[in-house]
Amino acid sequence: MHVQRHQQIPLSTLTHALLVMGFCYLPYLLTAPWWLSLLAVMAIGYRLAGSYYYLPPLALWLRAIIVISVVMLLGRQYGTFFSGSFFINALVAFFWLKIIELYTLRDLRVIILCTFYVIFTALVLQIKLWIFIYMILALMADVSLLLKLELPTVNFKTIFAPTLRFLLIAVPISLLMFFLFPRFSEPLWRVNLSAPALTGFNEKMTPGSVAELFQDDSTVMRVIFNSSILLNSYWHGLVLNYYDGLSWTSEPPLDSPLLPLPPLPDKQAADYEILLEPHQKTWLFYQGNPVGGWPNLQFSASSGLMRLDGKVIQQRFAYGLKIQAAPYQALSKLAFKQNLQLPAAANPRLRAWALVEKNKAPDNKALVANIMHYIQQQPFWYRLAPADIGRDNQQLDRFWFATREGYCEHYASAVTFILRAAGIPARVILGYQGGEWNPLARYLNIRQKDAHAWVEYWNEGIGWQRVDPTSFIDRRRIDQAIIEQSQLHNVDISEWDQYRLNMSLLERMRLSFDSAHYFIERWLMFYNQERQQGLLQALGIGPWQWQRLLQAWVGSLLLMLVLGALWYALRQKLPRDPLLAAYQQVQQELSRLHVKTTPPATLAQQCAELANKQPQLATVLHQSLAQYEDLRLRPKDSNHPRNRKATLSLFKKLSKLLRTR
Amino acid sequence: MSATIHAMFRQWLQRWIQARNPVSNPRHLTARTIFILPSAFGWAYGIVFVTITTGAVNYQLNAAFLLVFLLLIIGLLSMWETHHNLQGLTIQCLAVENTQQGQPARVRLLLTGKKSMRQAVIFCFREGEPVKLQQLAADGDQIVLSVQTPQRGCFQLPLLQIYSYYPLGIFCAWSYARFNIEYYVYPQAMFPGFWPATTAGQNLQQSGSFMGDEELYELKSVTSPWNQPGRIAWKVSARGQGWYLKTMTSPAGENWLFRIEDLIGNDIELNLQQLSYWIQQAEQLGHRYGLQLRGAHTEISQGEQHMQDCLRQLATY
Repeated sequence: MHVQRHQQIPLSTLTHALLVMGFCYLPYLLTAPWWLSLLAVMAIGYRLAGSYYYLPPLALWLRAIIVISVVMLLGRQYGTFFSGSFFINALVAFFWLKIIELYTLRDLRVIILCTFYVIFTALVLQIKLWIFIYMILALMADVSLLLKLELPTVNFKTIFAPTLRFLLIAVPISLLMFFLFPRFSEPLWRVNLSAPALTGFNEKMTPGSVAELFQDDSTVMRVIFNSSILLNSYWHGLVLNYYDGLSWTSEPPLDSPLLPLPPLPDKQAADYEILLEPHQKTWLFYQGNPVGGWPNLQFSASSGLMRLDGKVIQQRFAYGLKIQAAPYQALSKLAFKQNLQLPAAANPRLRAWALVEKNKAPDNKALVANIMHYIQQQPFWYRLAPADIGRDNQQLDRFWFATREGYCEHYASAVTFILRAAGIPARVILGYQGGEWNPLARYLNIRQKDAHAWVEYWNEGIGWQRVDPTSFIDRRRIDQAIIEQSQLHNVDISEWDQYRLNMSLLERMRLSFDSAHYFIERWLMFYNQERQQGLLQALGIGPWQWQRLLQAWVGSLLLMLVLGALWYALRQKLPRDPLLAAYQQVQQELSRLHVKTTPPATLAQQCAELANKQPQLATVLHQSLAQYEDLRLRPKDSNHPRNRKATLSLFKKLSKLLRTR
Repeated sequence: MSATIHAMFRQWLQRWIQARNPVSNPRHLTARTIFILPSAFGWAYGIVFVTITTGAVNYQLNAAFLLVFLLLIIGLLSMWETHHNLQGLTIQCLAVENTQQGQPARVRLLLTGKKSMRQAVIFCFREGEPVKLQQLAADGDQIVLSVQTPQRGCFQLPLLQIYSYYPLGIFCAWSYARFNIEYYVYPQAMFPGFWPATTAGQNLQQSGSFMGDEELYELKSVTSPWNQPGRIAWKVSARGQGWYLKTMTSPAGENWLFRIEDLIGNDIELNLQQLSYWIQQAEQLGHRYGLQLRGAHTEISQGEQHMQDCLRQLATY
C-alpha cells in the first residue's frame, strides 16, 4: 500500500498543526518554566518563517547544541535528571523542538502522537475541573488535524462537522465506560509529580497568619449533614498549647493519648460527612465530640482528629463522624501544668493586668465574663490589617494597651495569655467557623477565608469550654469586609425561602454554579471505588467485586462493538427503494411458480406465461398488468409519490395473490 | 522448509484474494471484498493508547480514564468510518487508450457511490502512480489513472487497488478490482531517415524530401482542423479565411505497404519503432497504407481504426 509519508506539509496544514500544538500546551503555561514557553514561541516563529521564506534546515550540529542546552537547562531548573517534573517538561520541550525539523507528513504524525502524551501529562499535573474541558477540546483539535491530513485542501467547515460528530458520539459512550470501569481503592503505584502549594494554616500561629487567609476563596471542605444541620459552628482543626512569646505552636499533649475511633456500622450512622480537600497536613476537622467514624480514624480531645495511619492528606479525603456529648474527665496534673505554660519574660504588663482582674473576679467564669465585657466596652477593633504590634515578646502588651486592633489570632492569643497568667488552663484552637450553606445541593461549603482562631479554657467540673473573644467586639468596631463576609453565614435555614427571595440573581447564579461544580467534581474528578459501588447500588445492581465488574465492562465493550458494526451495516442497507423491494417480491413469487425471471423477461411476458400455465389467473393478471401500465408506463409523472404508492400496493396485492398458488 | 511454507501461504492468500475479487466491470465494493487493518500510524496510536491506559490505571486518574476511553472510541469510530468510506463504491472502467511505449496508458474510471459523499479515496494500479480523490460526490465522478508502459505488447489491466485512510489515518481499508480489459502498447515512433517504395510500382521519388515542400500540397477548407493538427496550413489559415488542411497533390500515388524487410539492420525493436513512425505519419498525412508482417498483410486503407489495427500488430509482433 502506498503511504504518503514523505510528502511535504502544505502551509495551511502546518498552521493548523501549530494551532493545535499551541492549544495542547496551554495548561503548561501555568507549570512549565517561563523559558519553555519562550522556546515554544521561538520554535513556532522559526518554523513559520522557514515556510514563508524557504529557509534551509538547521545544521545538525546546531540542532544538537539546542537539544543539549535544553536538557542542561531543564536539569538545572529541577536540580536532577530523574524527577517527574524533569521528564514532563523534557517531553514538552522536545514536543516543541520537533517542529524545528518538521518537514514531512510523517513528522507531523509523530507530533500528533506526542500531543496525546502532552494531554495526558497535563491531566496528571492539573487536578482541576477545567482540565476536562481542555482535554475534550484538545482531543477535538487533534481529530481535526488528523482529518486535515487526509483532506489537505478542504475548508475548515468540512473538517469541523465530522470532528464534532466524532466527539458527540465518543463523549457519551466514554462517560458510560468511565463510570463502569472498575476502580481500585488504592493506586498500584503513585509518583508525586509536583507537590501542590500549601494551603490553609500551618502548625504555627503568629499575628497575621490567619488574617492572610481571608482573601483565599478556595474550598477547604464540604460538609453533608445526615442528622441536624449545624451552621455557624466551630470546626476544630489544631490545638495550640505552647506559647514562646511570639507564636503559638502545638506540643504533644501530656494527657488523653490518641485513640482509634470505633468504626461505624454503616456510613449513614455518621452525623455528618466531610469531604476534605488535600491540605498536606495530618489533622482533620471536626465539630462536637466524635465517638465513632469511618474510615479508620484516631482522636483525642487534646490533639484533635487524624487518620489512623497518621498519613498526610495529599488527596481529597472523605470521612464521617458520629458525635455525642463528652463525659467529664478530670484534667491530669501534668496536662493542667502544660496548659498554663507561659514564657517568663513575655508581656509583663498584660500579666500584671491579668492578676489584677483575677483578684477582682469571684471565680473563673466571672473572670472570663469580665474579660469579654472589657473587650466589648473598650475600643477594641476587629481589623483585617491591624497596626503592627512588633515581633518581640511584648507584642501582646502593645496590642492590649496600645493598638487595640487585630484579627482573631490577636484576640485568641491575648485572651489565652491572660487566662494562663491568671492560672486558668487555656489553649488556642485553630479551625474554621461558619461556612456557606448551599441550599441547592444541601451542603456546607467551608472556605479558607472562614479560618478562625478561638480559645478554650478549663472549667473545673465541666471540662474544656469554648470562648470566642472576637464575638464580643462591638459591631461598630468591626471592619466592613468582615461584616459582609459573616452576613452570609448568619442565615437561618428555616428562613431560606425568604432569604432566596432577597438574594440577587448574581448570588443565586453563584450558588448554582458552586453546586454544579461540586456535583461534577464528585462524579467526574474524584469518582472512586466507593462512589462507584454507591452508583451500582443505586442502580439496583448491588456491590460488585472489581473482577466481575471488569468482566461486565469487557462484555459491554464487545456488545458495543457488535452494535456499532450492525449500525454501520444497516446504514449501508437503509436507502433501499420500497418499490424495488416489492417488485423483487413479485419476481420471487413468479420464479417460485417456474416463470422465467432473468433480465430479458418483462412483466408483460411473465404475466402472459403465467396466464398460459394457470388460465384461472388470466383475468386478474391482465387487469393488474393494465393497471401497472397505466400507473408506471403511460403518465409522464410516473414517479409522483401518489403513483408510486399505488404501484406499491399493486405489487403487494399481486405477490399476495401469487403466494396462495 | 519455512520458505516453502511461506510460498504456500502466499499462494493461498493470493487464491483467497482472487476468489473474493472476481473479474467484473463494473466492480462493486461490498463488505466481503473490503479489507481493513491498522495503518503504521494506527499501530503507533495503539501503543500510545496502551501506555496512557497503564498510566491512568496506576494513577487512578479519572481525567486520564476519560481520555483513554475517548481515544478508544475515536479509534473504533474511525475504523467503521474508514470501512464505510469504501463500502458501496462502484468502479467502472470506461476505456483504456492504446499508447505508445514509454508513455503512460490512460485508464478512465467511472466512480459512483450509492449514497453519501466519500472522501480521500486513493486509486492505484500496481506499480503505478496513486491518484487521490479528495471528495467524491454521491452522483459519481470520473478519474484518469495512468499505467506505466515500459514494454510493448498487449497487456491486461493490472490489479487496481482502492484504498482509503479517511477519516483519521488510524486504519487503512483497501480493496481490489480486476478488469478483463486489454490494452496495447505499440512501439515508440522513430523516423528511419527514408520512406519505402510505394506499392504497385508507383514510386514517390521525392519521398525523403517532401516534408518541407509546401508547394506540393493542395489546400482543403475545413471547419475544425484539430483532428489532424499536423496538417494545418498555418500560413494560409493565419490570414483569417478559416482553417485549411494540407492534402497531397497526387492522391493516386500514395498507397504504402510498409514491410519490416524494407528496413535496414537486424534490431527488430528498432525496426518496429520505425514502422510505427511510418504508420502514424502516413495516417496523419492522410495517405492510404497497409502493413505486412510475417507474410500476411492488411488491406490498404486509412483512418483511425485502421491505424490502431496496424499498431496493434506491431505491439504484439
